Amino acid sequence: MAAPVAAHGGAVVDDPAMLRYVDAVIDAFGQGDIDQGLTRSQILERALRGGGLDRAELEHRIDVFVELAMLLPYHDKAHQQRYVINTDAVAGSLFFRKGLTEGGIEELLQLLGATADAIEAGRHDLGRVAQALVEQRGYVEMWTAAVNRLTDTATLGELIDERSQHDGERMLVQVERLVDVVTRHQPSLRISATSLLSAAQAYLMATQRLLERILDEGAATRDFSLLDPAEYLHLATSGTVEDLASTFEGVVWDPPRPEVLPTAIVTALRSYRPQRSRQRRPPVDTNAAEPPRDPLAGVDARLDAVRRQREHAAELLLQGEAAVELSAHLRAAPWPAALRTIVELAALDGDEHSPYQLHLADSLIVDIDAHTTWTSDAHLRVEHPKVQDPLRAHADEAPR
Amino acid sequence: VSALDLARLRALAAAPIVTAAALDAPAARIGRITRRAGSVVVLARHPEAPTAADVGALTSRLADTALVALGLCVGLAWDDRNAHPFPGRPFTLDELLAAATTLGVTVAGSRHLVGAVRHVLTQAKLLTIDEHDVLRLGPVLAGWSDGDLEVLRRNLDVLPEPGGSTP
Repeated sequence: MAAPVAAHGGAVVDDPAMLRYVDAVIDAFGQGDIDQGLTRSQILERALRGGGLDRAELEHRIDVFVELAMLLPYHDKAHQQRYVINTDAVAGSLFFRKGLTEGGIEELLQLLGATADAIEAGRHDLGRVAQALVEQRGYVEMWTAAVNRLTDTATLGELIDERSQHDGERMLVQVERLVDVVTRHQPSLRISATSLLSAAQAYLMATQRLLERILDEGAATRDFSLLDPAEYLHLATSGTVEDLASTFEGVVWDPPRPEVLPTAIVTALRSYRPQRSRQRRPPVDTNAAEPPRDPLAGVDARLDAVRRQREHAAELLLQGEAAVELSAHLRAAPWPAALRTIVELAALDGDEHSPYQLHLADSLIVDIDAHTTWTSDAHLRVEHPKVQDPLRAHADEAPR
Repeated sequence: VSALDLARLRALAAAPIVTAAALDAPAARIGRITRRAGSVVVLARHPEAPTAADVGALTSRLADTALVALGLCVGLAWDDRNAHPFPGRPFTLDELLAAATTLGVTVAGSRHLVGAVRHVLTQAKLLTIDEHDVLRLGPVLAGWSDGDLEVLRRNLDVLPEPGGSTP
């Protein structure tokens, strides 16, 4: 089980980075096709595939793994070069990796819980419980000493890295449970249990000191990354203006002052173009030689032309009839054209000399499929003045 | 005491500091360097400190009219172009107006220049003006570095001569 961290047959490696070699070897066996194990060269090839490993060091590590029975010969023959991996070694690798990343706190908590379970289940006799209490108090005190060392000597960065590896509150909860179980099942060991509880409380205080130092150092350097988002939110929503402003009590601010650099001065001088007001010349009168024209001259002619244009449009709608219903025409015409038709006809209707009459009903027709969706019934009528035949009129007037 | 002096200096832009040398270390920590400007001391940017642009900070800028006025003033005061323009020679408001006219500034435009001189530039301690309308470069300009001056020296053609001749 210790093979993953063994430098050679009798010692543990100094450098945790060496675990990359065991990871690579285990990964080599995880790539499939290992029913008959792997040859040494296959292990080398597969392990080196991921890159970042020194071949000579890997070969040395494989020798160690073989020596410590992490790699087991598939056949027990001297010339046999096919190996399978010992599952105990894989478990050991996982254990050491977890210990390196989480500081082993989980294992200690698990041990405390397992001891309590065993006492409750009656699997531990008095002597074994007493031994476990002493042993586990020692562990807790070791963890406390480690935390104290960190708090007193470590840099802020180290403290931040290590803080997740210690959990005083969970430790206390587990120890309290264990003490409770011991008190109920082995009351004669109450003193040992109390000692363990005291050790756990000391560990909790040590972890709190560690956190306090992190917060103090963070506050001194105004490292706001030490606050998690929930703490930001809590402060923003519940803190007073004075609380929030106190963060910057010791900060000196320069008053706003323009930054003047020679580059800006040179640029301004080069690009400066004074504005000059220019006098506008009067418009040239091109028709100065001609007599002035009466602007109202021709108005009647233009109005007459417009009227004839409107009457022509009305006649097109009437198609020779004396009256016509316009609703269908209006719905079929696009909106601007329909509007124009109504306006033109209304203008004709309002002209006292015009024989055309437009009648718009109060009804409202909505046809969503039509070009013009909203229309009213419209009726156009014309009453041309009757022109009498002079011969017939004469005949009518003749005596009978 | 040095922290207090430094804070005073930052607040006032220029202040009489007796032991300016004691401010060197605390000023360097905030990216500044002390420069003596006659009887007062000013803070300039430390040569190794990042500029406002480097850190993405937005700074207040002078309007173009004020920059033109300041450029004309620097040209008129800078009598020895091999030396630092501060303190330079004093000059009158009439000299400034004459230089502005040469640049093409109209009578109406010169009012804006005079307004910038009397208010914006003097408040920022970039210029001083006395009751006789005699102008001098302000102590803040003593903070210009050799690199800043090199920019001006490469563009002397846009600056008026100290005697008032055209740029």
